[in-house]
Formats: sequence, C-alpha cells, structure tokens
Amino acid sequence: MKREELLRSREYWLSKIQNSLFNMINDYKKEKKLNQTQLAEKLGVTKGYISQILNGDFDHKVSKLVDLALAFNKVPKIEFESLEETIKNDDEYDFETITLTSDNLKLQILEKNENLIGSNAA
Amino acid sequence: MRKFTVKKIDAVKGRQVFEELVVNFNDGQLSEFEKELIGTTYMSEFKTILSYMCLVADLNSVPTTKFKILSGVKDGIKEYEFKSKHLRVYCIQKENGKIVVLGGKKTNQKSDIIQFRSIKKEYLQSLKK
Repeated sequence: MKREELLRSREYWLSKIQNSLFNMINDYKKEKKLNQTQLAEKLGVTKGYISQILNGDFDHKVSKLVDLALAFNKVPKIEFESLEETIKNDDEYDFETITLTSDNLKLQILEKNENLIGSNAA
Repeated sequence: MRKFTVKKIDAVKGRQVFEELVVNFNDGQLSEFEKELIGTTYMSEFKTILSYMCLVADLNSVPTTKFKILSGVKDGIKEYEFKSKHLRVYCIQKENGKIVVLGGKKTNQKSDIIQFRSIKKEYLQSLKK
C-alpha cells in the first residue's frame, strides 16, 4: 500500500485520534499513580470505559470526547485541513534526515514545520 | 537456502525507518501478506496496523493491545508484534527502526511465531556471511 492511500483512509486518522486520547489518559494515570479502577472512579465512568480507551478503541460520541478532555483539564482542539495539502506536505517532509551539519539547522527545521502547519504559521 | 534483502515500507513514515524483509526476490513479506487480504474484510484491520506502525515510527507510545515487545528472545534482537482483532504482524529490531518479517492471522499465531523466528534466524545468519 502506498503512503497516499493510507493517508486517504479512515483508519489512519481514527487511529491517530484514538492514540492521542490513549496518551492523554495514560500520562495522567501514570502521573497520579492511579490504577484503572481508581481512574474510573475519579471520572465517574465504568472500568470498562477506561479499559476501552487504554486499549486504543475509543469510538464514542463527540460529546464524550469533550467530556473526557475537560475531565483532564484539557480542551480538544479540532482543526480540519485540506487532504491534498496534507498529502503534499507529508510527501515533502523528510522525516528521517534532518541535516545536522549547518548553523542554520534551527531554520531548516522551522521551515519544514511551517510547511506542515501551512497558512496558520505565526 | 533463502536469499534476503530488505526494502522500505512506503506507507510508514516517521523518525524510525520501517522496512520489510524480501525473501527470494518476492514482493516483500508485508506486501505478500497484504495481497492475501485484498478483497477480504481484513483490509480495514491491515490499514489500522499500518497506522499504528506510523505512530510507533514517530516514537509515540501506543497501547500494548496494538503493539508489544515479544518475550522469550534468546539472541538479543528484539521481536515485536503489531496486532488487531484478527491480524498479527511480526517485526524485528534494526538500527533506528524495524523490519517486518511476517504477517498472519490470529488463528495461526502459534505456528506463525515459529515460522517468524525461523526466518529471523536464517536472515540474521545470512548477514554474517
């Protein structure tokens, strides 16, 4: 499968969101040294619900996503970008080789990141 | 005696490099596995596995229900498993990345792990020659 086909798939973007949720909750759980039962009690949800998120399988309503974020003192910022731009930027971004040889290294990384961010760059 | 090469997996991009083992000049172990799944209901899971490979390649933490290090390694080369409800993809460690060695279904897990380790052993021995 080519990269572009994967980027055009539902599965890719769903996995990214589910994994962001997983990391938010897993980081909190580790920071507060809670087990799943304690975390579920704290949030007022079932242990099964927490287990689902920590298994990367969250697929509930948008309102549930908002509730979860707020419960962790975070806000879910959702932005939509052009798929074609995303594919184009993904193609141009060299994930593996960031040159480490020149004084303008920081500038190079910034330039590459700005290409990813697009017109929203400060 | 099998002949081995590796080739980069186009779909997976990140800070780590993901490659697939090519055995006897076939299409690549992951590509061969993908071909078996075309036209089946498993393609969605395959894309999800590729997506988790991307997350791991970009050094994200992911649930152990999606990706884990296999135990019982005796040769010092780490073994990994990407999993979905019905599918498994087995990889080995390489410098700054991973090599996909075998894909299979959950129902064949025991025999697939044996085959995976056999291919791994043969591949690693071929590197010494």
